[in-house]
Amino acid sequence: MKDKTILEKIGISDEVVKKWKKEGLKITYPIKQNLNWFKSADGEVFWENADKFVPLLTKKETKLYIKSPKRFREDFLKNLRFYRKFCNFVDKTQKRTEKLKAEEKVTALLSLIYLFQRAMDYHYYHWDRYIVYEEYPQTPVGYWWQKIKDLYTKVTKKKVLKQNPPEDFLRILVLDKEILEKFRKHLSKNNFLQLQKTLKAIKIFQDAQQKEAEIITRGMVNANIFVNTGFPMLDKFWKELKKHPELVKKGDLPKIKKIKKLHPIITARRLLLIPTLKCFDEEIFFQFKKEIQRWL
Amino acid sequence: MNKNMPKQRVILRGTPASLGIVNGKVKIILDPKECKKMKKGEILVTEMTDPLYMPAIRRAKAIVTNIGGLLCHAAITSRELKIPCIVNTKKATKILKNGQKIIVYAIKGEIYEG
Repeated sequence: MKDKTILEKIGISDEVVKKWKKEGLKITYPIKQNLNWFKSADGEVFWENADKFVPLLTKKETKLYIKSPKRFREDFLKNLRFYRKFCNFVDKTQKRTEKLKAEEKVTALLSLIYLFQRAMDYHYYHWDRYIVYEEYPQTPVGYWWQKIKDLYTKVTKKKVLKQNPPEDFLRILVLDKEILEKFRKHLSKNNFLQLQKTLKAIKIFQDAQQKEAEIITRGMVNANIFVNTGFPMLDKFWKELKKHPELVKKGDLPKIKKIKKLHPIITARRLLLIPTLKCFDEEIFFQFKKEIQRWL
Repeated sequence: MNKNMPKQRVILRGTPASLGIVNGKVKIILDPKECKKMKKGEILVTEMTDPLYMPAIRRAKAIVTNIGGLLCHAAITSRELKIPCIVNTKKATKILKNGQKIIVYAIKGEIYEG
């Protein structure tokens, strides 16, 4: 009989793993920085630190979502619901780590944090990040954002400055009837139809973000599914490591402690990159890799 | 000049993302784990928001962030909740202090002494 992996020891059989994979769970290893990390034409990179590790929309997806913002919303929310379900599974599983010995517990938690994070990358961030890329017309949101700006300028002869948008531009975004009426008078019938289509597209992207917040906070008090799942796992992991610093290779402890001080999202990301994983005891790293292999 | 424009000193500028004017006390939250510390009617001041911040946003009278644009989470959510929001102030979390009284003038993207 083959040696059990760390999560098998707490009841996560190959059948369970297969079931998740069949349902569409995508996990890859290792986490790599995207070679074509998204950059705008002016070379300015997006501000999210973690973003260079999030899988980018493919060319096909980008084309599809520009054509159909509705499809973007559907795919995004479908994946988010799936991810929420997976989080519940991860949360239940992490509770079972209590019965493990220190080294096994650290390995199991590290594996679960990895699954949690990588599933987040593929089933959540893959779409979520794009919602804020309005200044980049090559993205689905940016394409429609540019259109609305152009139509606004056509009527008002004013440019929409990123830093200082005019008041009535903000009123358009909330579909203020008075402003829309003014635009209707100044635009040709065709251009006004374009404006309506554009506002509808922007609204779909905004709605997706509203729905997203609703999905992840549903049934939660003062928290959401990710806070309730990810943070306790991280806390538990750090507590165990504090009790057993010998589980980190000699000399690498300061590196690990430095990572712990970062924002939890950045902490999780840094913790799971190969150079950090190699800071742990060799057996932990070996067992961790063995576990993750099952999920690929 | 707008008659509603505050007469106090401007202490910070950013991008208005959801129109409105309110005054209130600052609550700086830098870690979503601290959302439960937010009291109803305070002004949420943070680096940026994401859905993890929803518990704090629901209690906020206004939102001020260091970074973000017109479609960032804070902007969209505040427009939906009809509360004023100023994003992209660059340094709100450094300049403002917890409990400080401020006026959020989200017509022009200005923050005044309260």
